Amino acid sequence: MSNVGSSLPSKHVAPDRIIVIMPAFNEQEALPSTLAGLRAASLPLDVVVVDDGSTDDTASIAAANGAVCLQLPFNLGIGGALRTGFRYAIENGYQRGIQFDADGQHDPEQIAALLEPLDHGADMVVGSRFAGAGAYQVGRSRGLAMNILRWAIRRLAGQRFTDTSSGFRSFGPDVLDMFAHEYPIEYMDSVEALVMACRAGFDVREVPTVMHERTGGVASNRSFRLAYHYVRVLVSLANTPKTHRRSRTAEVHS
Amino acid sequence: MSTRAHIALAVLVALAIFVIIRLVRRRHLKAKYSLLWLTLGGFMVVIAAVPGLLDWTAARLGIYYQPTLLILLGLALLLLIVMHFSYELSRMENRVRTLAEEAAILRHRVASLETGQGAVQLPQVEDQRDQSSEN
Repeated sequence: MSNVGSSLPSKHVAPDRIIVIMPAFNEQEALPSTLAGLRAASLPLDVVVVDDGSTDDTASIAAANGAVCLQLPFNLGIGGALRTGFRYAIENGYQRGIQFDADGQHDPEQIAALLEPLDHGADMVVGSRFAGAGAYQVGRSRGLAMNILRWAIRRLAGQRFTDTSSGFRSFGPDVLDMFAHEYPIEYMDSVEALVMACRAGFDVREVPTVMHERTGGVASNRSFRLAYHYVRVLVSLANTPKTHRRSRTAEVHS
Repeated sequence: MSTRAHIALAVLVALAIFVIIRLVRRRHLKAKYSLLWLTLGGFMVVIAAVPGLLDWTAARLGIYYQPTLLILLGLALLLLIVMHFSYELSRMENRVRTLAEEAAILRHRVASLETGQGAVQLPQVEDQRDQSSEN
């Protein structure tokens, strides 16, 4: 339906460049230090901040701190912002991408660990808060909800994940391409995207990562809204079609 | 139904069809949507024009209170129309989202062209992905 990159001549970056896709909604406080952290990392990173209709100075701060800034005309939600980033990555010929939060909860030092499995056949890597490293605390009800979701995902994805909602991820070219065309648009997009990638037959892996507490902004955590989206996710997960890709080296792994 | 009711119905339906055609001619309503409503209108015309039809059909179907049939059919048609609108709305939302994404990317592209620097501050290399993203 959407013709990514077909209407315009694409630019192409050096193959070793890595695109960091950072959705941002009113993140002017956290952005400078997050971007500084990425600049300090010794990796060939290009940062694209997708300003999801912010009402503060997110866009100018992103640009002033050396990031490419894509300004959406109105708020699309994190899924739409991410898809914009994926489209940008594909149109510019990036081979590898990182999904990175603007609020500073992800550690740039961990990006290397997230990229490493891509060199060994993985198509997508999820940085898990619960797979060993670090000490990130979540509340009890949230913990329970996550457990149920994890069970459903295990059934659908045919694979166990310890952290399904982590927004710290890396992607190879094929997954970037898929997500540029089709990415779940509503809240809890990360869970749906994970199942989508698994059911499309991609090699999705998980690595332990350490995460910080948020440095700025407010996490969206209204409980009734959360409950609605929780049910919605379960329904839409059950409807995720299983698609078989033509040829991949690794179909399933432990 | 009484003759008087039939006449009242016929007048109402004629009015509705008149309004729909007017809207289409003034291009306030897309022809494809007008078809939906005209179908509903035509259906009502038949019922209004043939007095015995509703009673006869209801009797065939074993419905003893004839207006029930009218309400049932009307409801079914309205449900179909509303479902069609949900479908159209979903499609529209998808398109609007895609346009917004495209606008954000193009906005950046235009800005970087105007300031004379490419979107990416790196030496360009040969096509790596070639036409892989075509179509």
